[in-house]
Amino acid sequence: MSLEKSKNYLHQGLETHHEDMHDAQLDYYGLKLATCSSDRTIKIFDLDGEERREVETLKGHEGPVWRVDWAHPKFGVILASCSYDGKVFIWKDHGAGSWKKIKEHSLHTASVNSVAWGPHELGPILACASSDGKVSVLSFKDDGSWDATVLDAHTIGANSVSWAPATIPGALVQVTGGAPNVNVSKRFASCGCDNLVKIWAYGEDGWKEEEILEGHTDWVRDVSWAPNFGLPQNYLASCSQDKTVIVWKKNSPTSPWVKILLKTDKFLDVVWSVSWSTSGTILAVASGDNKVTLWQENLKGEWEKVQELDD
Amino acid sequence: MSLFSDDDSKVMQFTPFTFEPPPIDYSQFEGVSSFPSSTQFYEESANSETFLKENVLTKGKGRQAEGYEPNIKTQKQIMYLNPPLVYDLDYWSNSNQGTGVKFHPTRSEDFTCYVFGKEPIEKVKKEGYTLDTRVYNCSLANDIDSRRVFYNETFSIFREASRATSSKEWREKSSREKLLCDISWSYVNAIVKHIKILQENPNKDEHIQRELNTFRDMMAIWELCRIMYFIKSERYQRLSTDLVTWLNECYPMGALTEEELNEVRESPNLRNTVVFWSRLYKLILRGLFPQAINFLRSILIPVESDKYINREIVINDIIQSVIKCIKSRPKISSHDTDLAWRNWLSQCSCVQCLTLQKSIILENKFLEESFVKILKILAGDPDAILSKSSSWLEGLISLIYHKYPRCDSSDIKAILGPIFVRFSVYPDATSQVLKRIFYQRIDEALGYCKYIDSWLLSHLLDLLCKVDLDEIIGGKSLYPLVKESMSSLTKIESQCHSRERCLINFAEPLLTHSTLWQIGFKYLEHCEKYGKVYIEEFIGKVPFDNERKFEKILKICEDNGLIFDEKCITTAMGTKYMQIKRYGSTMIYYMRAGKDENLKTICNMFLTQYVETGKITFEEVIDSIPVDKDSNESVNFLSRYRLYHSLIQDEFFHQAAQVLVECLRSEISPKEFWGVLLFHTVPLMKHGRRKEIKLFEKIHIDEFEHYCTRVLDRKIEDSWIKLVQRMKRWHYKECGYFNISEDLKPVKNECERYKKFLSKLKR
Repeated sequence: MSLEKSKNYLHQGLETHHEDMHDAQLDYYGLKLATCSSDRTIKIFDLDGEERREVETLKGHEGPVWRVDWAHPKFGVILASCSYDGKVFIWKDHGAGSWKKIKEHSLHTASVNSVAWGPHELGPILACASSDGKVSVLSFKDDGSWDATVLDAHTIGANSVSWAPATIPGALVQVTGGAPNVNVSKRFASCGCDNLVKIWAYGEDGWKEEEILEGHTDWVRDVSWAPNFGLPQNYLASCSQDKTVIVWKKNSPTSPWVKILLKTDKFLDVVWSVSWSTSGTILAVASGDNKVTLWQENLKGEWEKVQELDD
Repeated sequence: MSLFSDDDSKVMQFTPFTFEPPPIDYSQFEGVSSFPSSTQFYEESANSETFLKENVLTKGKGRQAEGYEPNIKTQKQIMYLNPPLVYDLDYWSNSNQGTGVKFHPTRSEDFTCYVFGKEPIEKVKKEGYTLDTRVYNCSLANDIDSRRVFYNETFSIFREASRATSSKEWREKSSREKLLCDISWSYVNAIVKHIKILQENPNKDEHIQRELNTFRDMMAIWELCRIMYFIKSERYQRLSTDLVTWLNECYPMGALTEEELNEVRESPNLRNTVVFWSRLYKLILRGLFPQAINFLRSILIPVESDKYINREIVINDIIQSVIKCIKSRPKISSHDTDLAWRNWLSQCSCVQCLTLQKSIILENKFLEESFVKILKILAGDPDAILSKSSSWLEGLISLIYHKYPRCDSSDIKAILGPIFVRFSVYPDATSQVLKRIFYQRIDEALGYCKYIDSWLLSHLLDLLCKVDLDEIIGGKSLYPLVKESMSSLTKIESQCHSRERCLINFAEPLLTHSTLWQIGFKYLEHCEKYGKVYIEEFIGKVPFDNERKFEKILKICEDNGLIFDEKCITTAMGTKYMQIKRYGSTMIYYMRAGKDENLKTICNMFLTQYVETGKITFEEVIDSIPVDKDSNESVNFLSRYRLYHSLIQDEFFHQAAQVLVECLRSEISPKEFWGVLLFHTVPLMKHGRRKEIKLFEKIHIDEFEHYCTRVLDRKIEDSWIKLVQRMKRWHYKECGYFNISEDLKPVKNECERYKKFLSKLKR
């Protein structure tokens, strides 16, 4: 594997905000980019090959905007944003670049640090993590109404949320016969300042804390659930202020989560974000020393670095 | 700002591949290369000579390099974001900057990098540098665009190969071998064709060079597999010839260096020139006999009289004897090879003796040794062969060609021992693959192929899975090539598993490519076990900017029975049209997707517009939708309601009355709208009374009264009141129609009157 230096592959950087940027997120098809910043705005760009065009600046938050996330296109061109002002906004493009805020979620009492839309098979569903220690799940209904469930999750604060794939691990066909609520998994992971990663599952009694994963010794900054393509294993990656990355592996739905340190020695600085490739085979890790490393599991089940990008 | 530092020393380059063979003319592949004239020969590409000088496949003499894992780190490149890297941990820890990374949502090998602020602006002091607020797209993938033609062509071969296995010919061993060789040839031809395209490309940048090297490696590996594994039975007689041809085509000798050329040019007598002889040894080693004979003839010195036995005559005699030896070398494929071969070897020995006998006359130790060496090489002397070989590959194949010309591919393992005592193998992936192919450890060879190219790995593995590996390599399986291979799987299952995973890995980047996406999905369709789940995951991620592409995507869903995905994609298309307010198309796609709720919302929107303005705004929309009795209820109602209005407009009151009754009876309209329909009955009843036409029956009037009661039900009272209030604005004041009221009094009153009218008519 090699990083192409060619102009075609490593695009010139796209100029975005005038203040610190906090997140950059491509839409479902990778044709739109949303960025958010301490300047309290969200910018939307249309991407066409190497061409990028700023199409909209969304204003409304009263604090730095931490994260943005695109909904599945079947629900429309919809973006969720969360901010230091403790609010979550849902924005919708009504056509011809006419963006409007369609929902406002203000049940959190402190900064909302992360938002993530669930798999589209579950319908429009959004999880949010806040510094008030709570995680909320918003379910949007066809008639325009919505439900919010607020869960006590992490003392001091929740930093990030990540949804599990809707597929039951090992299922070779994801959702059968047009029945989206059969044979699907409705779970997400959250992480926080209590050094924990928690798994939340939806059952008959609503959302319940399913498991607590202990392994980090400092704040857990990010968590990312790997896509699953018919394999029985489930993978979850978490990264922390303790300068480690843990890959949590569950070999079958009934087996326990096994902790695997991505590397035995610590990273040189705090690890800020982890991201899985679409097929769930490569894990990208961004650490505080401004390095991005890519990791892959080898035949022995060990994780080896396949690429490194410096600052 | 450049993404890359101007200082090249900071950029870790790809490990350069020093082997640079000249363009390959594959039309000559079957035979021995044509003989170049001396001048042409000396003036061949100087680059090629580097192969012999700095051969990637050899590194002098020494211990065999074993168990090497390719160092992927050597292929690293460093990308510099702004500000440039100052490797000071405190700097990064204490600054408000961090690097963020996110994989591309649809492409597995693309990702986004950006510098982000760790804390909100309110919490940090302004830092003393310009913050990078750019977002960078990075890719680990090969350049798919430049390989588009190659991928298209090789997919056709792949498909043919898949079909071949179910053909009648495949069941018969002999015809199966022919089919297999044909398929393999087609792949090689496609590779060669692509190499030519790359060579003709005027742009010779690093990327093109890298592609060229990759494709040359792929050709060498694929051809060696064909020779070693796919050609069997009586054709094995030709293994040594095939191997030497392969060596000359894939790793040609190349040209002399400038220095060597000068030595040749300036030499008064070629017979005493070291470069000349070393060149001649190579020609003999590599079985390039016509060229070798020409070389030998070039040192024949014409002697005027043969009356006296002089030194020149003796040398000429020896040269002629050597030429005779070379010319009389038996063809390996002839039937009486054994006998002919023994006779020929004794002929070589005789010439060798003759040379030694005449050595006193020659009085030239160098010449004597050179002739003896050549004869020893011809006679298959391992020491002579290996001492004059420059690489393990050259040594091995020369040894096979001269010492074991009738060997079988399974015999080669035994020959490799002495080779690796003398030579070590360079640790690059290609050398490791070649070595393992000779060892018949195809599983390990394929393991190294993944470091060369995913196309090579997937297609070679696919073809190998189609042949009887037990027969070819004695029970070795291709297990385990991927991490998911588990011990619980049988050998065959494991092979299929590896094949599918490699094909999927290759096809994945194609799935979101603008032109190759369909081929990508077709590859997945050839993966019986895991293909479907990948199709399911990726089909929805193909961006569709036109309806043609959209229909193609749906066809893939349909072919693979992906009903839910088909509905999701159709819904996304509907939502896309909804966003640009093309309601007709929106409704068509929502109807296809069975999105009843969404259709209801759109229909209600139109009805609300009518309630607000009194205008029918959905005529064109509903006319563009094919509606039948099985269509969605809301759409059906909207269609019937549009019909009612057009009948009224055309003054077909009787039919309009019937449609109105149908609409009420079927109860497919929103409950809130029943009252509106009842209001519509009033002018019709009035018209009937006035013109004394029986537009409604008594039973209809009773039904109207019944519906009046239901509309005024508590449950819908609030919404009903709001509706009437909105309708009042235009119904009476703007349009001058009768004055409507929430209690439906006008309807009730008109019903009473109409009943009286009906009684009167009856009388």
